Amino acid sequence: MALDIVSATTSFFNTLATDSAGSAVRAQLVTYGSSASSIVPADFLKKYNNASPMPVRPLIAYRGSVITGNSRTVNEMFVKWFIYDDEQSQYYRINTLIPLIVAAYPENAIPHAYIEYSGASQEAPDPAYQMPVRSLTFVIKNRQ
Amino acid sequence: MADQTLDIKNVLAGITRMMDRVSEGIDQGLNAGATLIEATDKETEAYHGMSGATRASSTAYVIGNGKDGSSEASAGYQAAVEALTGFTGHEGQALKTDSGITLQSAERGIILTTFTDYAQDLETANAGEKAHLGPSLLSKATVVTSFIASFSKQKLS
Repeated sequence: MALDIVSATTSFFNTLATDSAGSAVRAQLVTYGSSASSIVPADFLKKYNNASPMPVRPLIAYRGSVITGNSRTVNEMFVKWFIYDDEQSQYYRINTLIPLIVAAYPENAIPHAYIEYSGASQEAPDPAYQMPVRSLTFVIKNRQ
Repeated sequence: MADQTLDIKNVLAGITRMMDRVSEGIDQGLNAGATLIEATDKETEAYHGMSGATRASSTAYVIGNGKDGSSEASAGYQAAVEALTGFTGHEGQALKTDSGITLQSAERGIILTTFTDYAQDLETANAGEKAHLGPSLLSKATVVTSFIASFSKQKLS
């Protein structure tokens, strides 16, 4: 069965935002004074400004990356979570969240697909926001 | 029943020849993969660019098995220098740094990079909004694997 881009993307996002599989991540966010409302699509970050401040940090932003396949079949979708925190917190809370996020995505987390965690980026601030950030890359593969 | 003997020297020589052929296939696959990845990155629409330095200096090269990519890196850096010379739209500069990647003796790989001091920012800013190196590599990783398998098989046939 071909991988459905829309449902796979929705499932992947909701795993952290609302589903039981991501409850440990949301609980940790609450511990840090943040909440599930700090789990947002990446492009939402650009709409925040002084009048409309960013969600409380740590915040976790989703971005879809490249999709491979041919005209009939989607083979792989690469998706990323970007974990941001305030400058004074540096990477401690970010690094604490990484294993919780990875654990929320067992291989069969999405119907008709395999999920693989393929690693985290290095510690480096986002130059646009001057905030510490690390990204986690996952691959959603067509289960054939 | 006739005796059957096995000359271990011939067997070992055969295995060595086979390994050499596979190695040649891997090299060919990686070279073809690097060409494809570089072309993919030069055609990306992930960013628009101002000076053309990122696109011009985008370089994919094979490392390992005696290759360090130094000549490709020099050419990529020179492309960035040329694109940024006289350009005043931003303050970015050409930059060539060591990749920091160390391979074990049997390992080989492909590096895709650009030679500007804002390359890292492009990958990171706004949650990777304009990231292109990672996506270009990821999008062709499976194809490169198939190239390597295909060339290795061809060498063995």
